[in-house]
Amino acid sequence: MSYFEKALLRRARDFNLKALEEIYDHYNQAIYRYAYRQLGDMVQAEDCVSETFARFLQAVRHGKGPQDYLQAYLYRIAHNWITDQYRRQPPPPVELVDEQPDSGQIKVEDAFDSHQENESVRKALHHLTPEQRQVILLRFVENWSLQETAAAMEKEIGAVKALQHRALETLAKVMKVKVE
Amino acid sequence: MERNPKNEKFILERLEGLRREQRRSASAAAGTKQTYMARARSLALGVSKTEKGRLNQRGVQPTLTGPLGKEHRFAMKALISVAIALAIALSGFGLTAAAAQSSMPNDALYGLKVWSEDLRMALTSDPEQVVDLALDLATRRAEEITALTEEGVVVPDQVRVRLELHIFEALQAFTRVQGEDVEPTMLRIQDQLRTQEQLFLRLKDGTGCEDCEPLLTQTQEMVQGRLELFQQNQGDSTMIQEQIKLQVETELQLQTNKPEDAGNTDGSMGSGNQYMGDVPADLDCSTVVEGDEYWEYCLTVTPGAGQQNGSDGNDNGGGKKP
Repeated sequence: MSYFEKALLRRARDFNLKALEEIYDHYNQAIYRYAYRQLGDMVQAEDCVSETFARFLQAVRHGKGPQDYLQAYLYRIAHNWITDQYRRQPPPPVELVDEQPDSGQIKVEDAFDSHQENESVRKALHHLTPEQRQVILLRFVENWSLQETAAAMEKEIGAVKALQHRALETLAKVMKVKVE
Repeated sequence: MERNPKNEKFILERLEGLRREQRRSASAAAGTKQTYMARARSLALGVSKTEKGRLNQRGVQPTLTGPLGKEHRFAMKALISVAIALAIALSGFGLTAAAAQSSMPNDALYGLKVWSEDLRMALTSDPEQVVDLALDLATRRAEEITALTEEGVVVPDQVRVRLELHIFEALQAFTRVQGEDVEPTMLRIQDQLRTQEQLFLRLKDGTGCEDCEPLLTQTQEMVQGRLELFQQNQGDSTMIQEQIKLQVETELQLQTNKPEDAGNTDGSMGSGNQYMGDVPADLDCSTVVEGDEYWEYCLTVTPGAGQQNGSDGNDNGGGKKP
């Protein structure tokens, strides 16, 4: 845990309003991005931020909350909230655009920065288990290390690697990737 | 388990597209932060004196002069220096007005504090800013009620009346908010009401001051009544705004009609401004009957006052809860 996190946590446990504000300023954007990338909805993503930090405040207020790894703790709350949102919606069918490569060469240059394209990726993620989804997003979208991901998921590194492999396999099936 | 590097490359490149996408409404983001800070401030009010006096991590009571209190001593000195510099720089009236901001009900300068708040409200026109200011003032009233209750002092009813007024002002301004600002504004108000409801419930349960309980109960029920406006059409901000607009208009109409028809009120507005400062702090509306000096005042602040005092159940009985 960085010195910054340690100092903030210490002051937050005393319910120092300035520290609580700094925590919010430091992490709210990342939590929003994490939620928006999965939900694709600005209002829902904002709700996720609101609920994540509300639960954080309640935990700190009652003497609970993180003792260390503040970032991982916040992401866990956000992940649980997002998982609840997923449970309320059935997995949508995956509609893929230009998914079938004709000669084994995948041209991806034109497939990025498109909201519709990202929607198809989100739908594919919907088919993963919550833990598989969390691994994929933390490792490859948030670019966390194995150690950071393991801390957020409260698992051993080996378990995270196994989850990651299974998640990629499932995604390949769902997205119907056919590559030589 | 066999890996397929080409599969992985394809998937990871798709995920890269997801990583690059991000859209966020600046006003919604600001609203979420405001809600968070309002919640933090309200929760901070509930930190008990025991908790404030708890030991630090080294098991020592921090003091201003002890080795663990150096940080506090330095901060206090800096604060005092700033306060002195400000005091010199300000004019007489400005200094008095600034000093009034920390005054409590029953203090000499409290009237000036209230006046300056009303002035700020009168000078604010943007609906969202009015909402934020009204919520801020409601928090101030909650702080005053908390501080007095914890000291075992019965809170003057005018404080509760002003709290109710601030909440009404927030709701009234909310009805004028438009577009994508409706949802975050609604959430801010709703969170503030939830936090206040919890605060007054906690104060009611925790206070050893029996005389404080009636006001705390009344305040908590008032806040709860307002919160129900948001819970009736959960999730639909447009519907909620419409319902609140209707409620506000109804209450304003009742206020307008009140001088002509004293019995026809549901007691929900409760601004009672005309009585500000004149109502005895220990007034018990349940003992006030029609014709008494404070009869009309009690009708505005006590739901069901008309029925409590034996009025018949006809159309003019009023006394319905909001």
